[in-house]
Amino acid sequence: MSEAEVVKQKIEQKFNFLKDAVKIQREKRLWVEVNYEKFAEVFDFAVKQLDFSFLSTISGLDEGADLGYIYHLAQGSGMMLNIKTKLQKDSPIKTISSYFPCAIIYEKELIDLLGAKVSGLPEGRYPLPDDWPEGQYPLRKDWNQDVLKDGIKGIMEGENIEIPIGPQQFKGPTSFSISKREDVTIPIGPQHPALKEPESFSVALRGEKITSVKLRLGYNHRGIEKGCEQRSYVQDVYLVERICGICSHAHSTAFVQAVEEIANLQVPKRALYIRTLVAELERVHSHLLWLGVAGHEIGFDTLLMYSWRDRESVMDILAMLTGNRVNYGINTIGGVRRDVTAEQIPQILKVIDTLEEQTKYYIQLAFEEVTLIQRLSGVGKLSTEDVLRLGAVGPTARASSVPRDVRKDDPYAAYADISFNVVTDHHNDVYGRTIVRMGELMESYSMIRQALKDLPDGPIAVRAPRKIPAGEAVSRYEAPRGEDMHYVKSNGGENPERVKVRAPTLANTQAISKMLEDRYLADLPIVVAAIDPCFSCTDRLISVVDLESEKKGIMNWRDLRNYSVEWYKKRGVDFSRMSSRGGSLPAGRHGAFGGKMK
Amino acid sequence: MTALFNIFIFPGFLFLSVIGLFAEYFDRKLYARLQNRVGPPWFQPLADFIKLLGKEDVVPEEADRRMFDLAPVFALTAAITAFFYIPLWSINALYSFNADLIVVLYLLTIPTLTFFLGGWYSRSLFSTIGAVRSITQLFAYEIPLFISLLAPAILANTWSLSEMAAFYTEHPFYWIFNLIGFGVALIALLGKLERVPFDIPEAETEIVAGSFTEYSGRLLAYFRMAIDIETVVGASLLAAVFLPFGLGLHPTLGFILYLIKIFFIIGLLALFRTVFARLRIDQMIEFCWKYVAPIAFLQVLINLILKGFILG
Amino acid sequence: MKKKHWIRPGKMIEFVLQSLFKKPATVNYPFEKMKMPERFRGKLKFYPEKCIGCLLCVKDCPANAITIKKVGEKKFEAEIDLGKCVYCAQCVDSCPKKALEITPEFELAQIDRNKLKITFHADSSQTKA
Repeated sequence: MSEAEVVKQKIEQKFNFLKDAVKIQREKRLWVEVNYEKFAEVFDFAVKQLDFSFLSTISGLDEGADLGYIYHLAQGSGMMLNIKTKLQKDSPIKTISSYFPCAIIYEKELIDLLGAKVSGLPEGRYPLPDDWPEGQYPLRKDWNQDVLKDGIKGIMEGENIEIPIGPQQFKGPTSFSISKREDVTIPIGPQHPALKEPESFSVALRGEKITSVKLRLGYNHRGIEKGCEQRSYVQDVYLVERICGICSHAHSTAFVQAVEEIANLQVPKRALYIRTLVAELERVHSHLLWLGVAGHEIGFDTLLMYSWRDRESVMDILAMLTGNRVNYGINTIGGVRRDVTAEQIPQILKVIDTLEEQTKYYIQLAFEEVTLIQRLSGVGKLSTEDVLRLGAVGPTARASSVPRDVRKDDPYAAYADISFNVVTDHHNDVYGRTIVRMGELMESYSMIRQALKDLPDGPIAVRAPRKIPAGEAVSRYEAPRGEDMHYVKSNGGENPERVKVRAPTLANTQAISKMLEDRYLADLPIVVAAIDPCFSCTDRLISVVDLESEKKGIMNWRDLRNYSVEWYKKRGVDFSRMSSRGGSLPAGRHGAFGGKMK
Repeated sequence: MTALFNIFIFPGFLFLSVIGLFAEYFDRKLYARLQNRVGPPWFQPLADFIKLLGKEDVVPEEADRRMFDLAPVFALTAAITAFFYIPLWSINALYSFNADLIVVLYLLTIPTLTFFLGGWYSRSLFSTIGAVRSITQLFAYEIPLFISLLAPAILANTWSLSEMAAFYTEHPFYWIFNLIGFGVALIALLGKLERVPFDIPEAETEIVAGSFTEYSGRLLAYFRMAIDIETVVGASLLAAVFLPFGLGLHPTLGFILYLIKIFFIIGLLALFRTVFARLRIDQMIEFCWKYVAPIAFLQVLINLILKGFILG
Repeated sequence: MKKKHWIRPGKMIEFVLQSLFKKPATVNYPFEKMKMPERFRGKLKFYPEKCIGCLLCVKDCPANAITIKKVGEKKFEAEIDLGKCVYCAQCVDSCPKKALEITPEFELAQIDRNKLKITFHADSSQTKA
């Protein structure tokens, strides 16, 4: 009996009402639909007895009179159990954060975007802005932009509205005094030279030590999930690709894989190998970028310059193969769009050889340069239990000895045929994450060589229908930052019914507060950088431009605005192609609307 | 009349400014070349300075206006004044008197104090943290710097820089004994000038720009000029104390030798900037007190013993 | 990583000093230009004589950047908004008659947004709106 059948049997034996209700979609995908009254029991059984210890995400769907919820659970071996349930709109559901602390942010997303009623969550919302009009839930089918425009009419006409600033009210500097040993709260973000993308950390300090961190995300929300519902599958391939600049292939491939699974298309082997090739090249460029970023965060700009110079050669190869340096556009539903020619292969191999030499040097550097070791060791500690509890993914998890890698656990594309090792490290801190990423670079080089050597002949795509038959699928992909999960539901039309994307950084943000406990302010940039945050992947929903810049005008982060960013721009978690546009404020004591701002 | 010329033109304010700007160019160009980049053109620091002079001064509402405005001016004047007591290319500095070494060290501490005051009176969160870090760092590098500069003075039996220069010219090659002190002084100078690995007070990725966060326009131009001049003065001090050879040469040759010496030191500082990462404040203090200060004391010990042998 | 590592400061010194003698890795754009590879996706080119007006390109464009207008019997002109175009070349792949081609031209910046709209007329001339 296959693994999936074992699990199916166990569930059906335990619960009579689920007889024959568990469906096996394929080798590692199980689906079961449960009534909400019985949901808690089934969930508890799955988590506690069947060892589904990882929650990928919670997808919410608008199903007319009801809201559907799908809880995507996974085991360490890659088996996924998707528990579907539904409830009338406006009916409350219980939070599952007692099982998974990481569920808090997924449930906040459900509350904001779909109007779910989940109780028992800490304050703070995600991902919508604080002045979003009440009662508007963007992912519901009856909502569109015109509804929003009505709701924000007051703001656009210049009314002054009381807006809470960030996770807590920021008191001006005159309200703290060094003589009283109080906690000082520093806002880091949304605009700060240390952050490549806007996110807001409210850091409470005592002297130089951090006592607590409150994280507010959502500044990069662009409405991509809703946008996907309004465009056809072909158009969505390109939209989904632009969720992120660095892991664009990850999103594109994950989406295309999900659609191909629903449509039951047999993608030719050559296409799978080409996808893998581009995926590993993307991983190389992303990790080199991270190396530079980490160097910059700790003030080691030389490392930044050199690793980014080496990265240029990878970008050139990608441009040669796919036609662009980022946003490769190589995937299409049913295969890939461009082929690898015989002349390109030796060029790629040459670049890989040079890069391998350079990477070996960087690895040596990591082991021997004392200032590097001092800054990176002992910082951002996350024990193995913390990783499992908080649901961290990617190199963040692997640096704490958790061998979680979707390429091994749930192989997709050509990974089942290529041999590689999952790199883990026992240091549990940022230093460990550096070692893991560099180890992965070496593995990627070997994988690229294997893929080029074993590239099978054949077509590069099969014809895909324009109307994808009804169905749903979950696709997982190991992006450079961790597990990227896409859930696609089709209703038989040309546009998808629902696309849910859970990017790896969202899973990792839960761990930040834990990592920063009892550390110094100086460690904050490198700790945040160590999870390789890509907030563009993380926040994806509509923000009307007017609302954003208006909000920034009213929320006059006066002290932040006046800072001179003389020296240089900073790190590159993401190229900030997706960074929030926000109009530039005139510098000065008074905000954009004159008068004193509080 | 000559005094005025000396103070304002050569080798005073104007000369110092020009060399300061050139030193900044040299540092940035070398840094860039070491990183396989092109680097700025020669007029970049001058262009930056002029641009800053032309920008609006934006002052935070809650800042103490007086201190905020005066801090850069103090930094600039203190740095320039220190320059006059250092022998550059001849044995005699522009002005000298006994114990002018102490006065120079004191004058060089003032810029750090003004960074603190400027940052503190900006009344902004990031500036305050930067200011406090500046002062904390002062406790770490100041002692090694003082001690290592005292060691050659002990050997020369005098507290005056010019007399030290005379002593070492009389006894050529004695400066070789002070090389350990030179190493220590270089490290301490990195701390004073707030450069990597000790640029914690101005860690851009953490606290935006530290003490200088709220500064813009004219005042920022003065601060930056003060830092450039402090670099040149610090390098000259180190050259005068640790590399006091060739001081009696023909003026033009001596001038060129002086330039070579200070650009050698500035080049070393740029090299350090390239190959190190920034340390945290606690790591830096630990490093300075555990390793650097004892070596400085070692140098003093060596010099005391030598003094006994040579002169006793 | 079994060999013994000697931890010391300034490990990068040898590497860094070598760079002093190498040419900088910078391309002096705009005086020097990098040559883009053949497949690079830059500006679109439209061949009006091949177009049959099936509008598949319009349907498949993720950004709604291309519109096809009929200006006569079997004569079509295309208007492309270079500001909206995401240079994905899906229209190139969708076109059954290969009437669209992507060129490596990428220096397309303009100061006036309207100049970004290009019309490929049926007589093969090009204008900016």
